[in-house]
Amino acid sequence: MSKIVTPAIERQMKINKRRPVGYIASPFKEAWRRLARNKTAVAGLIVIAIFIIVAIIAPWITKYDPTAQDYSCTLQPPSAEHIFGTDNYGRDIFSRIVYGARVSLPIGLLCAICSLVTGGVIGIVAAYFGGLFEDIIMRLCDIIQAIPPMLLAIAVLAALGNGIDKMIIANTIALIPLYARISRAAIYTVKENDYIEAGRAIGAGNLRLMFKHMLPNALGPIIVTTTFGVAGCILVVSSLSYLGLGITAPTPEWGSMLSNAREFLTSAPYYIIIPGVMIMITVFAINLFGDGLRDALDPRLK
Amino acid sequence: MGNNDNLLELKNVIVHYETQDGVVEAVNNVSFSLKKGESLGMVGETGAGKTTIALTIMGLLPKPPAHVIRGEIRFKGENLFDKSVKQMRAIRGNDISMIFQDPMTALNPVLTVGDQIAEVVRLHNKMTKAEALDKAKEMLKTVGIPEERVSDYPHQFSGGMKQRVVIAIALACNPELLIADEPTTALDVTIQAQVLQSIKELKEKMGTSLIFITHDFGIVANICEKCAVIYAGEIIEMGTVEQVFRHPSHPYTIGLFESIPKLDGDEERLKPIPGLMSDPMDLPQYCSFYDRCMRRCDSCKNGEPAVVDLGDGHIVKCKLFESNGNAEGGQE
Amino acid sequence: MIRFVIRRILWLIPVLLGVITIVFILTAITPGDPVSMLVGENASEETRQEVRAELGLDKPLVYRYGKYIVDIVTKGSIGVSYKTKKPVWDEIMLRFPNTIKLALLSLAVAILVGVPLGVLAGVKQYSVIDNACIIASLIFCSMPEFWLGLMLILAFAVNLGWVPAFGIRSWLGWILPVATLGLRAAANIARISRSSMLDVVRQDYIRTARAKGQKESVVMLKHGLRNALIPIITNVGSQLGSLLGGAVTIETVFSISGIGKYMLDGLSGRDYPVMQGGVLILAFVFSIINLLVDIAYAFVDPRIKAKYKSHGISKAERKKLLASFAKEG
Repeated sequence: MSKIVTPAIERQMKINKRRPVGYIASPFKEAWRRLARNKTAVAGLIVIAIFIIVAIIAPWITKYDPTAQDYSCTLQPPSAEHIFGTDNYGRDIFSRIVYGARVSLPIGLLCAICSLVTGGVIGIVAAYFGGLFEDIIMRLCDIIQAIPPMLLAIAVLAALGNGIDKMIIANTIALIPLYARISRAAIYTVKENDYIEAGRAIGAGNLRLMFKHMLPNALGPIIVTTTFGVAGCILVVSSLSYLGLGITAPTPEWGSMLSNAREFLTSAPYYIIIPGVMIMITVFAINLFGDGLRDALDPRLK
Repeated sequence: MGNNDNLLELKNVIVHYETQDGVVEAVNNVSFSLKKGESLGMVGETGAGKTTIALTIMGLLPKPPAHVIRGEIRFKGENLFDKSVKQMRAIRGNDISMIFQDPMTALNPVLTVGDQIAEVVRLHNKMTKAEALDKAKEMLKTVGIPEERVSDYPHQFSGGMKQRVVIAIALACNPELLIADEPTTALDVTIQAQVLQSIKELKEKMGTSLIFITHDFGIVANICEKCAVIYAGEIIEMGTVEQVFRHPSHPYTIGLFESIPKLDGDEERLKPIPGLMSDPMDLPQYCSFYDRCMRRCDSCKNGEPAVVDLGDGHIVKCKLFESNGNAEGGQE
Repeated sequence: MIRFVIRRILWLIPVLLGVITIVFILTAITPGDPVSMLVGENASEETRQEVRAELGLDKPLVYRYGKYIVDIVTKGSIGVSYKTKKPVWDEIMLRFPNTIKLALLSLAVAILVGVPLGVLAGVKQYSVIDNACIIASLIFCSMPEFWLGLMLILAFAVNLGWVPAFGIRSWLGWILPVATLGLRAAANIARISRSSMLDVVRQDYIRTARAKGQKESVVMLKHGLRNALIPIITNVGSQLGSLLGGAVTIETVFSISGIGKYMLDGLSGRDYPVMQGGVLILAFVFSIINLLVDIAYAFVDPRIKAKYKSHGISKAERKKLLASFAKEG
């Protein structure tokens, strides 16, 4: 009764032949391998990479200054000269989109990272020390979370005034409680694990426990949350700019372009379609990548 | 083989899990049979494929990734693999039922235990809800739980009591075959004894055939007549409890017995079996126990060992016995 | 249970007090002078002082803060608009039905579309339905909602002319705003429903139900869905939060006279009481919704109900209960 060889086993035997004896992949290598095999996640990553590269080489791929106004050709539909057309000031929309990537992408990233770092540190410290300190922090979070995040961002932005930095601060404040809660919950889950007890038993200090043992184990969910956070922040930023808060003309930012394009909904629909599509593609790509990342780090669901 | 009084008969069953990370050869050429009222203990390490065998019989393999590559399972003479989904549903819970390993997670947390027992009763009997609930109360009493607790939720029960509820669900329709998958592993020793006792009593009272999966020889000796030792998805030794316990033949079985602490012996140390079970994703073409075997020889690497009958149905799958005894089957 | 609800309602008081404090601090540091907005940059210093005194802005912030709270408690007043001189409460109540109608209708659409699709996708993982559901929900999650609104206007109002682009004079006017908010929320809910269903179908009790010989559809609905509901309910609660936030932009896009639009107008006019009142009311509504969500858990999961109950009983009772548990175990 020799071994039954199915097509799936044949494939497997080929892979086994390539591997050295006793091959055991590290968890991160495994995760990376799973990610690389996930076609949609890779597609997302490629799109993100293209957008980043385009943002970096913006001056070399655009013919026009994104802020240069030319009243001789306003609201031109897409043509060979202006592939995305021009806006009501005669500015080249393609240039503005490309330069806009230089604003929209970093803002999204910075908003996510700032809120994650501050919220994360607050949550981790609260979970770790517990007691009255934790209670106070969490009750404060309750209060801030009683205001829908978008409203809070609007109110903070109104108080601080316009500007890219203020946009980041407003988003960070609105998102801190959420991230504090997520990281606190993550730490609680990790804290329950025996290896933390084991670490304590061999005399590891608080900081060591927190950063050497807990953080790496909570890292997977944190990376995934950040990825989705970037996507969410890009959307919120565009909404705020649309309302005329935060980033205003003439800075080429996708949301503020849409705010400007609103008046020309019927006369120049391409002007409102193109920046929106750009936002959608970017956020879609980031979300695809985030989904792939989550599946790769948590293969349980696959 | 092929006796007609066999309630259950497995013939050359092969099951693979085809995952993204590779193919797990979970069940390899497993054949055995079980008569009415008979009980079989399946012993083996974690990951040896015992649960997969049980799920295959139940028709509950998660597909994908699981695939039945070949073989047949005859229950009362009919091949279960030929049954339609609907026919299998009528068999599950009624003719064949199963007790699962972890009582903590086997019960639905949002339904009362009464509802969960009544569910299986109503599925296979024409009864009103009230009648089914009465039956549920009766079943609770049978497994030693006061019937007032019929409307309690699982979280209000302890582990041992939850397992008894699971047993009540499994036995509610008087199944002809009961598969118990390590029903006591998750329980305290004292509770274990109670649960085992109730399974034993119920089996005797109802004349149910039993497949008892465990890694504890003691339990097998206590409640089973036959014993099968599973290694890497294969039955490497099988016989009556008497045969296997008195004359363990396969080096793995011998190793298992030697690694059990004995109270009366004067050995100072336990003898664990060296090494780990072979990776089920990469099983060798020869005996899968070769790497850990204390009695291996060169001929062991020449293809798979044949199944040898040592007499009276005590079978063993090892090269050592191929010369003596009559080699049997397998090459079909 | 009732004790739990009462405790949660009492807890609303410090939360709303906190909200008022935050909004007061924010308005205190907001640049721009409401007086200039009212009387214009060129008004004389005298008029400015007069208006300032009339609005109570000459008093220190702490005094205004105290007065605001005292007014809420004694008069039930949440301030008077600087611009229209009408009580903010009345103005908000005029617009409140529109906002809440928009949010609730959208939520209904979101639940009716999102939950069944997500559950179906989770049950039939890797199927065509699953993939279509993943892609569609991801696309809707990736659009700024105001832009989705504008695109719907472009397609259905401008090009096809089926529905009015702006305003809510007839029920037709509600279709686009509700679709905009509803589809986005549906996408979120579908994603959560799917992953929560995926999680649940792997649980042992699903296998137990199958082992009983139960029909697959019943296994999924009776055993699967009810257990998957908790994350879904949580998500529905937070979706309502973002629906209320999203109402601000959507009311602007579709020119619906709701709280969101009222607040934005108040914001640009530095009409602080409008802003404060709006945030306060929305925070109150949002908190009540979260309370309802927490109560809904109890109906889905007996374990949570037991937890709520144990918080509501006296210490002696709890001890007795614990002792009885210990005896059983």
